[in-house]
Amino acid sequence: MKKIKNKTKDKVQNETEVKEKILIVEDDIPVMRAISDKLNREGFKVIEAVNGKEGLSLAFAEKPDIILLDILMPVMDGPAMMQKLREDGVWGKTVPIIMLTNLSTAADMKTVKVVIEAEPIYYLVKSNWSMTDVVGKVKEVLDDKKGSKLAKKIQNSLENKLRS
Amino acid sequence: MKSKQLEEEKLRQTAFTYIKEIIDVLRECFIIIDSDLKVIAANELFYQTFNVKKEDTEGKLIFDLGNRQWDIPELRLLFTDIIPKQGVISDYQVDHTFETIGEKIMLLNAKQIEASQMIIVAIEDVTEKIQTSLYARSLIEASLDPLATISPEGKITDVNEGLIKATGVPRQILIGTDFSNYFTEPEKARQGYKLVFERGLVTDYPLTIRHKNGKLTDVLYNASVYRDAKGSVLGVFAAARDVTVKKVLEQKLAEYAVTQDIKVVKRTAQLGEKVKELEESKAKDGAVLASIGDALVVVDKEGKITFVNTVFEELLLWKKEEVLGKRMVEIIPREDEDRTTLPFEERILSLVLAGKKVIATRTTTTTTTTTTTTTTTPTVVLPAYYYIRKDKTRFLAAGVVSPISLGNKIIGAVEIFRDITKEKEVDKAKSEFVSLASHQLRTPTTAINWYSEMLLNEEVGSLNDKQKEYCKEIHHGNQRMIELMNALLTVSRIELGTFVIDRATVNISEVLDDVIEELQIQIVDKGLRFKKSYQKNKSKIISDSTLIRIVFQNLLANAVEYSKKNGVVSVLVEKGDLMTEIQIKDNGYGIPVNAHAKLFSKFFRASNAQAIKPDGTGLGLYITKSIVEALGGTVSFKSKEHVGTTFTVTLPNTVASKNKLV
Repeated sequence: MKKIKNKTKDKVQNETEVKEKILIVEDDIPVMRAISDKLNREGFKVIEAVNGKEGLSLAFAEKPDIILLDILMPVMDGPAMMQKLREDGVWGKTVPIIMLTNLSTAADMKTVKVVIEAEPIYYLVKSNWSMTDVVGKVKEVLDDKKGSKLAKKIQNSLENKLRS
Repeated sequence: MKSKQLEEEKLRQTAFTYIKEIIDVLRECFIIIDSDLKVIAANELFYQTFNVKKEDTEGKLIFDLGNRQWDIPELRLLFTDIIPKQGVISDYQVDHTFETIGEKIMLLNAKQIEASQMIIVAIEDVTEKIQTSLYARSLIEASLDPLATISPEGKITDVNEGLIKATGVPRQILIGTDFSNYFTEPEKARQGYKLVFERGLVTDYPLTIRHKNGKLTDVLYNASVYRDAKGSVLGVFAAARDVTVKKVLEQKLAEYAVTQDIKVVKRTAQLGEKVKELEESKAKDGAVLASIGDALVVVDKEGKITFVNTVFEELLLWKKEEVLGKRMVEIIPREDEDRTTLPFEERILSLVLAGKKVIATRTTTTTTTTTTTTTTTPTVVLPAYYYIRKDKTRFLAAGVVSPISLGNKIIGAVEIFRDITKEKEVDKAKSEFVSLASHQLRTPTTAINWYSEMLLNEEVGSLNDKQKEYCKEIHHGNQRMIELMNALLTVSRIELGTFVIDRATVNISEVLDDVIEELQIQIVDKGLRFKKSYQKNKSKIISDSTLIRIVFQNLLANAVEYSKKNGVVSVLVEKGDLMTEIQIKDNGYGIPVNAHAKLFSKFFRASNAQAIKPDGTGLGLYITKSIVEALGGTVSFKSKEHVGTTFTVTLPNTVASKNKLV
């Protein structure tokens, strides 16, 4: 395991020089470890938090490139953490977030919709996605960020909000 | 000459005696007067009737009789003018109030007998007869029921106050107009009228009188023809009985009053029986109503409470005697979730009493009702709402309102309701359980899914064949569990009614493309060919995209699953003016005829489907049908074994906004 990790790490470092930082906020440890292991192997620097409160302080301290955020969590849930993040500074407003969820009832879907309508972010239903797909999505969002498509999207959305 | 005179005198005496004897036995008053208008004689009945003495009468001037009480202008006219001229009169009416005997109405017939210079006067005392008929007339007038006489041509010839009141039209206008004008169904009135002529009598013929202000009175008509002495028909006498409940009750009371009469003692006994029966049945009904587990309130046409049961008292803390006669909507306010009191006129009870058609959709606390102004009023299921108790506390209630109708007229309403606080809590708990279960169950399946996937991809070391095989089984088994969980959650959401239709523009072509993309692996495996006959710019509808996706996921997955290798699946979308039709056609295994009827039933699986896909849930088509119907559409199929199956879904281009998935 260590061997593989190092191998990938070298590869990524060679390509990008600086490792991209990913913050995972997830209260279920097995699920968290699955994503965290996988992303480590893919060469990312992974930071872990088990609730929104912890996630928020780690986010401000580490300024990750992307945040994977569970919705239902104790202490502080995903939407609450995201709101706090968006209220604070330019970095907080623009950092890409992928909402992770296993919610599926109509009421839950409404919460998700309200969230993604308020903020142009991605969300995915964990049990419906394969790990390969999850990693694919993370890379896609990071690429978007580099091309600053998302940043522009967010910028526009913020401007629209200010206007209305 | 003298003897001849004597003979004549004798003869006259004989005739006179003869006449006197005759008039004495007749049942009419007679007096005989001479040409000087002096009374020669009168019969016994005359003396009796007019209370005069024979000795004060004979030989006296007629006008001097009874202390000149008979000096009546009409009599003077008759005897001094009419009789000398005409010699005879018939039915000459004289009304006079005598000091001694009071009012008399007399009909006089008189004849002058030329030979004897006598006038014979017959006096018929019609006082009683006329008074009786006046009494009858006043009885007719006093009757609360609308009465009328009608000519053979159907024109009103006379009416009473009852009919004037019922129509709101004055007597002078009613008389001479068509009888049928005053009913809601003139044609029916005319037919009833015809029946009277055919049969001579019609009883209990139902009609509704329309007051000029629009008020309707339900009546039952009894009518018969009346004839003159020769038997030819003069007209119809029509008597209506007001059968609106209040009137019936008034009449019942009147019937009680009649029981004073000795003649109706027997009837009293019968009535007594009836009353007893009524009281018994009332007591029984009362007991039934009181013992109903739900609160029950009966109101009259004005919405005033006429009955409440004990549950009503217990639930609302009002005592029966405190609420009787008060308006239900005023004394029991209704609130919605955020404590807004519903205006009286918007209360379902008010709408039902007003004869408005009320359609209510059921299930959640936010359910709305729609109203339209049509006449028929079925029982209305009330949405959940809060009722306010006497002590201002409130509780969540649900119930039904039914109109009480007589004929086609609403005379009151019954509302039954109960406290559903507990039920709502249970509902909420169920809903929360489903939500929790979905989250809690999915998390471990997610972990299994991802770890087995990473193992299989040999990310952390290579696996031998057996390890790989076992790992595949774990992964596959987990996938089945996720699928089954999703299906069961969908079903429970459908059955709990927690699916809310989210209206938005849905491009059916895009949904179909997405779902086909999801199935790409199986499509490639089987070498299936897809024929798409739809265009993105001609398949937009207003509906719920999440629900529509579930429908096509089921139908397309079936088409792929039950296709043979290298089969063809055609998908066609056709948007019409109101509905859009989607056809999914395969040339696969087909559905056996014996499975057609039960295909959409929950957990049902056709025999060949069980063989082809042993781990199917039997929920897909059940879910499909539930959703399509909730979206206001239909789903049907045509299939032949080994030829193929075509499923057709039609969806409205705009889904109705208030529909809920129940």
